[in-house]
Amino acid sequence: MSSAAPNTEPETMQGFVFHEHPAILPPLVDGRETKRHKVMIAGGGPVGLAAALALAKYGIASVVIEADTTVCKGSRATCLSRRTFEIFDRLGVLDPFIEKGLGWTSGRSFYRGEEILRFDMPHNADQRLLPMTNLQQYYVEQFLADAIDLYRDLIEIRWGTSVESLKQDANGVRLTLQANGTSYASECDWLIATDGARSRVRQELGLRLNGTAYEGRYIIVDVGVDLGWPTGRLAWFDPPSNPGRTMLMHRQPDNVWRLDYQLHAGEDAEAMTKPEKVIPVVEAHFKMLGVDDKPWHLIWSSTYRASALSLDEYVHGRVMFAGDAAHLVPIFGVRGLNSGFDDVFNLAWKLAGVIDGTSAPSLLDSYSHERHFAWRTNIMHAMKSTEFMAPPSSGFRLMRDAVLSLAEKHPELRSLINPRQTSVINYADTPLNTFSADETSFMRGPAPGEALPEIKLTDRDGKEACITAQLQDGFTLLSFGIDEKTQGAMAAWVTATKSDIPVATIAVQATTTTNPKTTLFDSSGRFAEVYDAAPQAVFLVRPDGHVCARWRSFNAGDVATALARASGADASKQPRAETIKVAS
Amino acid sequence: MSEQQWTDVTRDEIYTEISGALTEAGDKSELFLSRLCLLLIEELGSPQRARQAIANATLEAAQS
Repeated sequence: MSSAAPNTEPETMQGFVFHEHPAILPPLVDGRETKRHKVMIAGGGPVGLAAALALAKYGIASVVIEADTTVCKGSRATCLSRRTFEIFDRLGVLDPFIEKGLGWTSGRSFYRGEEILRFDMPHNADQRLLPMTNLQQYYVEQFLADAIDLYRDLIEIRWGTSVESLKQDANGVRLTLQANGTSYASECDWLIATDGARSRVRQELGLRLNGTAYEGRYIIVDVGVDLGWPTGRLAWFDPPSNPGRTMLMHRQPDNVWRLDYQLHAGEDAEAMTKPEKVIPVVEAHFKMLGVDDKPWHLIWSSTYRASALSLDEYVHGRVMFAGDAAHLVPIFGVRGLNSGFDDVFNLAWKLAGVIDGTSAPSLLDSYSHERHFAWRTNIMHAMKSTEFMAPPSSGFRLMRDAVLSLAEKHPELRSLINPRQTSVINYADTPLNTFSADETSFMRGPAPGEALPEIKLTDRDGKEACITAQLQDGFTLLSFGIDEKTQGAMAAWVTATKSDIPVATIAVQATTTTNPKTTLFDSSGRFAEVYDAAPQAVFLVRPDGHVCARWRSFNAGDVATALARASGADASKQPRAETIKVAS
Repeated sequence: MSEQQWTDVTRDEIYTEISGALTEAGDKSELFLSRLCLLLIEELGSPQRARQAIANATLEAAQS
């Protein structure tokens, strides 16, 4: 199907049109690209495209190397988290995702014929974005590629081009690329590897993933059918239609339904993706659901194996790994692609700082530190989910079946069935945090390392203005209830700091304020409550939306110290070459 | 030492610990579960509550 001959109609999938992009060679002299690049990104999947956009926000140019000539064929990762949408908003690409995606807040679980659990995702009136949105990965990649079109001066996507080999030294990376049968050499200062689970870059550097590969194998099937059902997670344990299997169903746009089911021991994964094997499973399930009268057709199927594997470090000299190239997590709880977006959103501002010379290269170590911690947190939750969805041993299976059979009448046991969907990671022990003398006085709210909790504020016109939508690129000094004098002192400090590190300010005021410079009001009082913010409170927020320090009042010296630590500026005087470790 | 309360997290931890112990018991898993039951009913405080738990766990009541 994918080997389309020239001049044929573009391939489509349930109405989505796959536009082909020809491979184009750059200007070459003696088989070498004449231009050296600041950043190259190996792999133009969703994570690589997001990395290019995130760097462009800081004015950093990049070249994305993508082996295919169009976006991925198949829905693949389909559940996008609220945090991912916050990141998309910061990248300026959110609108098409909201428009096309199907948001959801709840799910239902069934054991044999009975419904045993209805669960709600964490969601409340403070939120502007839904906890989860379903969208096929080809749309995700297309929307990101469309956004990149607006950054043509900074981002080049080199379609139909693959990485053949690479070498690095203390100053950069030299790659051998191949397009249309022609091999050529390219050089860059930094390489971001987002080339997926079978990363060529990882192999070239001789690096291995460590961890656990689970025995459980799954079939992933997309079918075209209009069921007229709402969006939400549907799970069946041991359904009468397919005894012994665990089945999941998710609605996607364009009348596409995703079915995931576990293979029995001894079933051959490749054979089980064939239509003659897939169709009876789907037919039986639709018959059980009473929707076998609806016309449906098979669109795509694939296999999946649960793995909890990661590189020990994500930064290797001039090469940084992100997404599946860096780590794999079991599918349950949708931490795979979503954690990849968090990777590059964490990495981009740090790499931009290092390239600009405002941050020491050692700041990149915190990327590895924080995101490896995120992976460990993610697999802890995902493995719990996996142990329930696909019990790894007889004991887990007995206990799982006991819980399922009791849950209908014993609600206290239902939390064990909850699928533990992805949530934002708290970098509690990152070296970028500053714990001020005021820290212990905060009873709640975002401690250093936590992402900003969403709150709906109002602007001067009384319109809704959400806190996470106010954040800009770079650091932010977020204050509550400051008086005019402090606001002036803060503005003066920000102006003085500007030449080194730009810091934006967001001043939230209670509705009773007499400060005439107010632009954001805590009309509901929720900001003061959730952030435990008395008047004069100040929060220093990193470019990726994580708090790195908080105080009861503004003190320029304290804020400057915390900013220097979080931005890597306090170590930026070190000579660069000495602080970059290149594996021998 | 103050006793831990039941939360979703502690219930989850204990669930995992029993699952692991049950797997380790292997072909003696029934003996393991029976011993666990006997120890737990002593914690219940009354024979009525033990009888109620037995009734709730009886398979005919839970499964077709």
